[in-house]
Amino acid sequence: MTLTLFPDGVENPANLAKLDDAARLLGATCSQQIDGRLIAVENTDRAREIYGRRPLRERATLAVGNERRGLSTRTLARANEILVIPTQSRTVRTLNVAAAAAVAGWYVLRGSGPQARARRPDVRRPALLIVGTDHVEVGSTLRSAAAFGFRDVLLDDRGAGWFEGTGATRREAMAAARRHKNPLRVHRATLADLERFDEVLVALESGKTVPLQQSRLARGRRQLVVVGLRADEVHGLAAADIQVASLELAPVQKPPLRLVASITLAEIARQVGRRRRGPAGTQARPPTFAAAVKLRSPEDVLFVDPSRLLSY
Amino acid sequence: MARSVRTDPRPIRAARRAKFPVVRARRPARGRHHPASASDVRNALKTFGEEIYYGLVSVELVPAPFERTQLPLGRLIGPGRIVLYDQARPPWRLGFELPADERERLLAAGARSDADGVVSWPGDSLRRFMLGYVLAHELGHHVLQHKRRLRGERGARTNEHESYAEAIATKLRARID
Repeated sequence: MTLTLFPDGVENPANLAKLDDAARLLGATCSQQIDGRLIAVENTDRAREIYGRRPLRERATLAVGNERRGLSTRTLARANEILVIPTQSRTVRTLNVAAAAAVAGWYVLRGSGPQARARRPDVRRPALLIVGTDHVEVGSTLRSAAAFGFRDVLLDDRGAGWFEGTGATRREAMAAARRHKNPLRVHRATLADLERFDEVLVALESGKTVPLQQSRLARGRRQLVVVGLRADEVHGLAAADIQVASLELAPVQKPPLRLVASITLAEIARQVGRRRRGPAGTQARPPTFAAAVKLRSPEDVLFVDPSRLLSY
Repeated sequence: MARSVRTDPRPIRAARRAKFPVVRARRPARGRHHPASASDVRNALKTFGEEIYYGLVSVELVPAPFERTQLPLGRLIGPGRIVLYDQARPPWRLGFELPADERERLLAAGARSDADGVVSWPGDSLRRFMLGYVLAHELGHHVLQHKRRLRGERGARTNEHESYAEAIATKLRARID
């Protein structure tokens, strides 16, 4: 089984570099040649979700498209299968192309269960702490967080300049985060804030720990998921209950935050789930306000049978 | 936030945008009637003014559901939808005395009630009660919900909602008295 990443018309050299990083992390190659089964990642009507698939057992090529136009019609027509990464935001509906390739490749290679259905998914969603040193990586990660349904994110800004960077740095970070339509609230935080949570789960790109898919990531606001932390920093953390989970990616020097974080966020979104739909036609029940004359409770009233009155 | 037509005060928006709601009556149940007819309701709404009926979609006169513990009078059943229930023809023979607070409320509206639970409505007091107390109260709920631009959730806690609705109803009663 081999996986090839096929960037179909990707223009930005930085994105191409990150696609190479994604390929190395996934143990795949990045090529312009299609090898084996062609799997397209595109948001189309006939696309299947990336969740609920079996692990890949054959050679395959994963095609991702241009930053603005998406995949070409030619590639889409040739595709054996089209996959979509389900997002949960009304405004941020797409991921960075390298992040999308990493998420799709991770699920295609490993397979997963289907996305959960829940009556109130937001109650199940954990808090998220992003530890970032690069402004574009932080911006891309915030874009992914918004796309996967997060509304609030904690950010440990270690020189990324999200809060206090120069104008140029902040502009690039905002652009990467699609800030003009990204309603995410970003709160300043440090590792000292870990003590506020009952459970802390640190997601690492590799290492001999529990696989991320076997970790519970839907324990609500009392749980904090940390991404972007180095493995050597985990031992010094002071929190009540720290778990470490691994994405089981190939060990590389300085893996891009956006790739590791996007995969983690996608897995959180899978476990947290989407809102369970009611029967067709049902809507949220609006509040009703009634005016009525309240009667005495039935216990206060003596009902008398007419026959007893006659005998009386 | 920049000012726009959406941020105008409600009376100004109402003058520009309010549409008169649909008022329709369904046949009352046998032996019952609608104390205030559809035209009475229309006249009352015109008297209350467009600021009150702004956002209101419909007022329907419908048969009342059977409830053991209360006599239903009216209800705001959704965003901008009010129903007024048909009533038994007076006198109402309840068979037992009303709770003190309910009795006082009906007496204030012009009813007469005796110890045997017979509530009579002299003249057109029942019609005035349905318009000045029931319709006006439900309009108060509607105004609060609409003012806060809410459709599926409560604009205030129930007690506060009721107080607000009653405050508006008191003002509206003064307009039709």
